[in-house]
Amino acid sequence: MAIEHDIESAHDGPFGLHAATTGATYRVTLRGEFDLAAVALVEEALERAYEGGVRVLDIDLAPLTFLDSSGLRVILGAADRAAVHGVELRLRRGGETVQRVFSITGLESSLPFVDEPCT
Amino acid sequence: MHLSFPAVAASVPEARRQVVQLAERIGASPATVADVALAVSEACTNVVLHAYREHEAPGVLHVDAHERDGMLEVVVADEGGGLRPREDSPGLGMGMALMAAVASGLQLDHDGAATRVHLSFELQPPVPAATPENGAEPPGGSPADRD
Repeated sequence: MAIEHDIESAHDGPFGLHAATTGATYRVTLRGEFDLAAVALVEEALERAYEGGVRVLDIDLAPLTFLDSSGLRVILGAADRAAVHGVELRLRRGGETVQRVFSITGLESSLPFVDEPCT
Repeated sequence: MHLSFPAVAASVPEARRQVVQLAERIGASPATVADVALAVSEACTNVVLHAYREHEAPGVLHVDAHERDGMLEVVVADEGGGLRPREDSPGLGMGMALMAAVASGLQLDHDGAATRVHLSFELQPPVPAATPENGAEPPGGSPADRD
């Protein structure tokens, strides 16, 4: 089953996500600008990962153009909850603007980043 | 430029984009624009999350930005309780760390009626000299792409 959410933030900087389940893998693709205005939408979509039947949670950060500490906190929360629920988390790296937020905060090496496209 | 917004989540991207557009208009480098976006977003987020916690209605988020002597000066201010940590949102420390890391200057002041975060950015920061350690391009080479 697939679900899709899209919101248009103010002005010309949209945030959107696509979330879909394939077998035991739940994939959430984030695009645009992930800040405080997008937190509730992402958290709602991630809830499905912990409802049972999901073995792998793929979060694709590559299409993001911006991430701040609000988005970072959501990713950290997903890592914690995935561990609690026995779900393997995989984070597809974002661009340099996104990855530097993890780097500055010293979290890049402690999160399960992958370079290849989420499958 | 002076902007006022309701201190709600939807104002964060709006404020950030307006300051970013100003930075681009006055000739900030792409790296500086990225720094401005991140620091302004963090400062505005702090106001939304922390300044008006005990208020029933959203307060006001003020953003001032102007150029001075090759710098972009930005002041993000509230009319509320300032930047007090909250147990249900431990992000204040991360936001401050990010602002401190990307801004050329960071200063906070609180006068009892408002808290102001002063951010400054070099519009055209010097390109680091190339060394084997940092791999930076020498002056005149390709600018570093931080996006």
